[in-house]
Amino acid sequence: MSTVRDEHLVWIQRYADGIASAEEVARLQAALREEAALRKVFLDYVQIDSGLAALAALAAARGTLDVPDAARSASALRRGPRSWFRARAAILGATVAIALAAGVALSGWMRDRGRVAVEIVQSEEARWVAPGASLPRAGERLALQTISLAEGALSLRLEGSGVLLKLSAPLEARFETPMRLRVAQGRLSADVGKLGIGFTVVTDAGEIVDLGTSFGVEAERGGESRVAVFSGKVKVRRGAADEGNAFTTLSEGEAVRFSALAGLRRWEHVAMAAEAAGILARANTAVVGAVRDNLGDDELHPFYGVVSEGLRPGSLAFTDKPNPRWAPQPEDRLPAWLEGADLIRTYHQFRYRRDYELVLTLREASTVYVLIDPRQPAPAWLAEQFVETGVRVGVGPWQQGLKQEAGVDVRADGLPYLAFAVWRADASPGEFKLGAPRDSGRLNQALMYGVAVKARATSIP
Amino acid sequence: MIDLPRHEQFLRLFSVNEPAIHAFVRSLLPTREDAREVMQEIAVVLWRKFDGFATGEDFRRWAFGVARYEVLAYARDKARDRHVFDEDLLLTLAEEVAASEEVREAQREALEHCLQKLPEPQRELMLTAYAPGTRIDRLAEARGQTAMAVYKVLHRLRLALIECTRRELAQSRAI
Repeated sequence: MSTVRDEHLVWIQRYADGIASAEEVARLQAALREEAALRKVFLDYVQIDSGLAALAALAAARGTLDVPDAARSASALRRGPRSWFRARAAILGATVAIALAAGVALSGWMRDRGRVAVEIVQSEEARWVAPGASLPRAGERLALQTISLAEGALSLRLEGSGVLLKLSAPLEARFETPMRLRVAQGRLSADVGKLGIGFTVVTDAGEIVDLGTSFGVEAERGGESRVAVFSGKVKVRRGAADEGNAFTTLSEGEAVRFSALAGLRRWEHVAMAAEAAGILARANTAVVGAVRDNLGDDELHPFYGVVSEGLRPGSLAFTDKPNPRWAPQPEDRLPAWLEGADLIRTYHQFRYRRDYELVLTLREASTVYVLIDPRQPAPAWLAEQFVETGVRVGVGPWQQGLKQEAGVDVRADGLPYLAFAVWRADASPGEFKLGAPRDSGRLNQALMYGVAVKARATSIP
Repeated sequence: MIDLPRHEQFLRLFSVNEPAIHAFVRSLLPTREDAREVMQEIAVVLWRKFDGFATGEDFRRWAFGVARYEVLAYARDKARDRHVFDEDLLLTLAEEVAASEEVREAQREALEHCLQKLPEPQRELMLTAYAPGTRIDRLAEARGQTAMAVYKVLHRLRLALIECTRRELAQSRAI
């Protein structure tokens, strides 16, 4: 007959949740001493507790768990956005400890190399791993070779190249040269100016060479690395330099994961440094929860940027082109009902794909706007689901070649501009599908459309 | 110079056994924060002592020995904290956890399956409650509940998960 009573279970629960009083702990302790059956229940309970903590950290790391800000501690919120990286940091906690343990040996490993002069631009509760080391302070100049960050985030500017690095704990890295940083584990974003072109980040997975851009990297020790390009271009290759693997060039908005053994693969979890990029892959406040296409993972494809309330005069139209922009000049006006809509920065290169599908996941009832070149016939999916508002929105400048085409406005700056037609459709929460920019004719003569979404209550023209 | 192959061997062994070590430690300490703190110390000590670990030896058993020592040291430091169990009980529990580790490992594996069986809202609540950085009082407020109400729900779900893992283990033994 079981001797485990309900009050025992309550004590166990309160103990496991850290809310038991000293008196309850004393009673639980006395009962545990006496009852082997209770000890078994107790151990089952705390084992489940331990397992749940691990599974929650894993779910957060995989990006399948979205913890509302309202549920998080103030310190967790201060640490920054609830990104994939933050959750991952929790999982890697024990590995950080190993890094700490290995610190003495690692310092010997790095001892004989040169140091790099840096200036600390900003410290966000940053703390070095080295016990007793003073806290990094903004404005401090240091000669660094190894970087072992235990907590917080640190922005450094490299003297000479001007490369700006934002490092987030837990991180272990060392400079092999002033232009080559080996990251054993951790994450960083780099903003590289002209003097810093060629700055290289090396991880166990491979190399990332900057071509004058800003990008983010996360590296796992001995495993996978992930790269997201916020602007400009980088070259990426897997494996060690002497393996001779070819570089792949990534452009703005592209993100990949790679390892020494596996090739490059599409990386969809790029919400991480979205603030820095101005591109939110999974915006918390946007009506659009997710965007995907039907182009699959078998080739390298970029992610879609969803810019919450991002449709403004001058906002970038496509993720893969530095121009055109929506309503780029004062004479171009965005109607009030359209301005401030969530902007989906599509990919101009996908205008060639006749079987193209773009699927939006809408969080609430919305109005979806498609901004499309009116000089081309409306595709069937557009004509069937949408109605034309009669409004035109200026977009440009385009490439010079467009100047020869009909319906193009060549403005005072000598560059071609177009006016795109705005179509609208009401959509329910859930998935909403769009198609290729045109049904027939030569696709290379088509221009890609833009997409904007507003919650329905505020989008009535 | 660091012995990289040895270091890699340690990392591999540690990462494979980390869930078991953590569960062991968690069984002996009152809060998840206590367990996290002691786990960090254990990782440091295991690496420092790794030279004395012979290839072929049972890493988990060796790590449990180190973990038990570290937990006891931590408990002694907190001797005035009446929320920490006395040493005699800690030793009894440590012995029983180590002795049942095979079952515990199967239980951890079954947990993931059982969690998937929970209805989506309950699974999400459970994972959110355990996510790094979550505070139960804030979670309760966001749900329009009291913290005690959330604790009770979590307790019921944990009991359901324990029951489920027991059934899973019984079935796997039957197979």
